[in-house]
Amino acid sequence: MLSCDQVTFTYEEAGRPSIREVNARADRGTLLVVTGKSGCGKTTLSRIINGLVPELYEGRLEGHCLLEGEETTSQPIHLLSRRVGSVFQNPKTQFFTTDVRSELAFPLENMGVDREGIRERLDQVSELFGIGHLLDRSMFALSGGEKQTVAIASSCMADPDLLLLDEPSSNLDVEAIEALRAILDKLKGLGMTMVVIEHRLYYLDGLADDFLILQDGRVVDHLTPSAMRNLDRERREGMGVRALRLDESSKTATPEEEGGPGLDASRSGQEALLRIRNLTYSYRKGEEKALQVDDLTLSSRDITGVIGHNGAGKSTFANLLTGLLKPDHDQTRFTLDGKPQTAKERLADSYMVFQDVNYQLFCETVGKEILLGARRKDLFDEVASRLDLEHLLKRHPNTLSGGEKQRVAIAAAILSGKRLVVLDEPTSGLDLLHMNQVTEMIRYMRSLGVMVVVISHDQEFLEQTCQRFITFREGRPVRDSPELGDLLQAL
Amino acid sequence: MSRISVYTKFFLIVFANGLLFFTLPDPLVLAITLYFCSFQFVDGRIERGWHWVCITAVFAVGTYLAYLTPDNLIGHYVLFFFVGLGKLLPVVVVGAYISGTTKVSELICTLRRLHVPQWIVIPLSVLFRFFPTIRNDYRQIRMAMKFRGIATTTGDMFRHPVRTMEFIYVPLLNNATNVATDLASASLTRGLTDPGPKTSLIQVRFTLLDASMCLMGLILMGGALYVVM
Amino acid sequence: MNSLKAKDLINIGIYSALYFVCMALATFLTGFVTGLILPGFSSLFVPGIVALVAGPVYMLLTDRVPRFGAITIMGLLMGLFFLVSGHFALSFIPYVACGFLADVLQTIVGKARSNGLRYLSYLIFAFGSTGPVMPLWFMKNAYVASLTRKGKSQAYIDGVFAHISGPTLIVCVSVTIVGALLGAWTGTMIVNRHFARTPAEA
Repeated sequence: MLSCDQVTFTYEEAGRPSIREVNARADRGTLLVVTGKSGCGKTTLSRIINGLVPELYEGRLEGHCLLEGEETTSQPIHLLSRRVGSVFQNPKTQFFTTDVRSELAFPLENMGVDREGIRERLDQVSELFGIGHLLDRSMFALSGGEKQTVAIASSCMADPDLLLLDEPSSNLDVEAIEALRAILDKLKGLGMTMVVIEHRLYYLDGLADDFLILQDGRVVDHLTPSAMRNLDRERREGMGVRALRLDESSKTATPEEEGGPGLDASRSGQEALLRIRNLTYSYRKGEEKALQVDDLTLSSRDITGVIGHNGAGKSTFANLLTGLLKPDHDQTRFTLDGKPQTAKERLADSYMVFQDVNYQLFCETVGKEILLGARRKDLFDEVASRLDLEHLLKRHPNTLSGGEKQRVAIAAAILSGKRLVVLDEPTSGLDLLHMNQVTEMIRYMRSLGVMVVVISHDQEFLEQTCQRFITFREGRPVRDSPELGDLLQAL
Repeated sequence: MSRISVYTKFFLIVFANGLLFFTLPDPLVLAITLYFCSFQFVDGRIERGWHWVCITAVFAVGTYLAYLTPDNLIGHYVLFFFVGLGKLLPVVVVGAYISGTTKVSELICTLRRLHVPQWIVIPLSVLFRFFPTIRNDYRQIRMAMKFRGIATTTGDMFRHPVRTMEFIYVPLLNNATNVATDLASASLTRGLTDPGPKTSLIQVRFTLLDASMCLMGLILMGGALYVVM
Repeated sequence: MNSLKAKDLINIGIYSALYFVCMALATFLTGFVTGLILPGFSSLFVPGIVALVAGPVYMLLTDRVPRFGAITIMGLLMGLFFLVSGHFALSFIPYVACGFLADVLQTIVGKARSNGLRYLSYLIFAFGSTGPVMPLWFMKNAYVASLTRKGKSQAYIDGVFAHISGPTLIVCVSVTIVGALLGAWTGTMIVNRHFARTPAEA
């Protein structure tokens, strides 16, 4: 079906090739996984397969990428797009129309299929994907998982020979990933050939037929599922690849905790405690409560993980905690080390690192960025070296990679000198190396006496980072435990 | 989907704007404005319909009473308010109806059928697609600014206007650039550039209901022309 | 227009959406501040305020899509929007005309990317949003008609407007020019500082 033969590609204006002499094959009905660290060239390979090279990204291509014997990059993209369906990583930015029905019809409308034909195919596809109930909804009203399902459904509308998914799970929560797995399973059952570019591998266990591992643009390994499963940990981590099985990652935390708790205490002086009592919040007066917390105490000694379904109240909780939202009534008490705090004071004393850090980068150099609004300017040198930002200080944040941007955002959070830092889904789309870095940065924050709360769906990351797990369900904390267990069950 | 086709809506726009060029007797203007309001009811938006009927009534009464206003500054102000803004009311009623009931997909489909070129249809689709994103982005940016302690209140925003603009625009434009790339990838791999004729799933049909509503409009138009002549 | 690729068209749509938001914001702000004092007259300030806040959007668009068509299409889309959003429909004419003119200046005459021409093209584009001022003329006519019906003499009516028409026009034009120049300056500054093109985009 698909065969890449000695593919080398250099982007225009780039000095060196992004991928070199890559060979890859996907036979009909099989699922090929391409994995490796960020920047290893996975996405470049995908652009050659779906024709975005040379349509959108120009450069010099050597070697051949053949789909059923035909060169992918030499056919016009509108013809190739009928045979290769593409799904991208960000569910929010890959739909072109505003409602689900139009989004599904879009590829066929472009091809000029008649109305009856579109309608028929739409019925088939929406039944296959179980999205009949979503058809009349606005795309904006869907959850991330639903958006991603619609994106896959839409790219299957033209009945392609090959489906290419570029990090489809990176912005999804654990349940949406289960749904994604089910969909891929179904498509595989129907004989669809698939290429999945991914960091997060556990959900592909049992589906994948082949694993291709890239490093610095080269294929460094080509493994069968059983070889992948038995890959020893050191080798796997050396290649920057996340575990195929979750239980494997959770046995011991990877990055060793440095110093131990003794050091924490010496640096931060003492434990800070934030107590929350009688907290209720509703988005509109008289409506059902979106959040209710009777009595909860957070400590700066524990890194607290907040988990829960979509819409369980995690974000609302975070927004109240940081003072972005005000509680319903005056009986709510937030006390930090015994002193009551108003919403305004909480806002002045807390910080949030967003899932998409692009929204919180404002300045023209990294140096200025991390000093903007900083109260702990004295930590500048230490933070810059701990977070490996020294060589980037003069760069514009826009020119950095995703992982680097996130380090900048976290550095700004630390230098702000605030006592509470909330991180919202800090590992979405990160590879193993960057995930471990985030864990280390969070531990560093704790060692400075900062109270850290992490909202996450990432089991591997939660296990290695947090000491306490609070589960929200229907706006209430229902479980509070030092053990995570199986995330799906913990929800 | 709206029960009235986009074609009829184009007719309403022409009608309402044409009115601006003529001075017609008040009762006729009232009848025409109520005709425009009636579309809300036809589309099942009863509450909205009454809302606009009430506004129309207020202006009708206001215009009528305005002739009795005294010859001082306040009198002139009231007169100008009712007569001046009242003149624009039909256009506003039609605009509110159209923007409230027309789905983007209907509009796009109609434009395609009218053979409007791709270099208008594509940017227009993206424009509608991008509005909600802007709102969401703006909220996130304001939140981020609050955590940084910059321009936390509305007053602060105006105290350093250039700085505020920079802080809002940098992430906003940055994200816009990223979204543009992603949308381009997504649409190119879904055949956007196919040179052949495009089809539409939804059907925009000129129905009997359209015809009868238009007929009613034409009768009113005829009445207006008769008066003008 | 055929030199524009799909990505360019998407960019134009996105920047037009941002430009439109600036417009909505300006209309809302001026309407809020001056609307009740002088109904309708607030629109005199709209072009100036739009021009003041939309500078970065325009400058980034001309930077990202430096081909003929981008500005014309943006003007056209703004015009289309007036058409369906309850503004006076012919408001779209100034937008299309100014958009086209600004585009010619920017992409054909201004190939050398001189700052002066860029400022000038933005200034011309800014006058596109004078469309919503046009209804004032209709409002005035309606007002005049009602005065006539009240039995006022033509001389009286002329007297009332002698003080209004000339100065309002001057106010509108000068506010627009000042707004556009300031907007062009902030826009150029922000684009140069933050969005200067970097080699190797990937």
